[in-house]
Amino acid sequence: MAFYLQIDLEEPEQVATNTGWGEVLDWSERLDPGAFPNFVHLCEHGWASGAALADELARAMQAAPPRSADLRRSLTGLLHLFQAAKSAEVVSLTDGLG
Amino acid sequence: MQSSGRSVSVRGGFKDGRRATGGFRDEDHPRDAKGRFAFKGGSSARTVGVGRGPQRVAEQQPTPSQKAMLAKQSAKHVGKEIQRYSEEHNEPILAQGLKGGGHNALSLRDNEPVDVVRTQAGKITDGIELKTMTVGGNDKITMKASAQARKAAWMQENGADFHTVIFDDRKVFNAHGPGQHDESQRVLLYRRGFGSFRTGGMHRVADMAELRRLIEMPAAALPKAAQPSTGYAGFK
Repeated sequence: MAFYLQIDLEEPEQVATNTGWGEVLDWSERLDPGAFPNFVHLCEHGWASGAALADELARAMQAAPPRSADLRRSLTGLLHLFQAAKSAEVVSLTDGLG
Repeated sequence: MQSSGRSVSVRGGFKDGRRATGGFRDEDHPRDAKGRFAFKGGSSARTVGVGRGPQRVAEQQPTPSQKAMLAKQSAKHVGKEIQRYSEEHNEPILAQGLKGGGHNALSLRDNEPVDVVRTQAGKITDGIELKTMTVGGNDKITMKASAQARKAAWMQENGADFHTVIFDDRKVFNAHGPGQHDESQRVLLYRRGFGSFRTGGMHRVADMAELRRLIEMPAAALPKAAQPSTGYAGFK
């Protein structure tokens, strides 16, 4: 089950395999939800406002550097997508089924 | 179409140094001075029985404009619970079910265009995208042209076929309450290839043995509902 990121009404873009997204979730569980509220909300509930996501993820990668190449690749791809989503009302994670 | 003949190790190592599920590298699992795993969560979460915990933040109430946008989006958003369910239940079932007859099957990490690969003698023969349906109404696969191009490129690069498998678990997931699933109600759907299509038109598969047969079958011999779209350039 690949995971896709949808920014407002743009077509979804793949961000990770299911197992790859599981690694992102494992990593997100090490983060303080108070410091990274939007990113943690996206991980846990599948959607968030786009404005702060790029900043939060960049800071999170500094605070808790990814230890595997797979995870680093997934997070870097996610960061690029977040940078294009700063004015988005909603960024959501989907499995491509609608 | 020629196969690249690219080979992989199926014992933890993977092409380009990437790993498949099941591989364990000590450097990925830092430990403290006493040799204990140093961090909660991370890729060692299942190994040490921590992490993968309950949700830590309550779901926000969307603003009216966010609510409208969520309603308009083409696909349903998916939170942690569904990902965990698919990773811990369905991917292992699929990977295990695809083994046999000299084939191995592995789940992939990072952002590969496939979830599970099937290998034979260390060479990838097939890539499978697994989707899990847990709520009603989500009966269409939508895929951006660039995602389809990546999958086509992956096929060319590996000389492998591509398959879409759906576990329709709408009557399975939490059937008897939270965390209480009824595996007997699973419906398995199959179609060769990838793309945007309705799940209602896919071939209904009886069991894993039939799924293996379908995956190994030449495209022209597949049941009509399992056949790929026009333009699919497969190897079987």
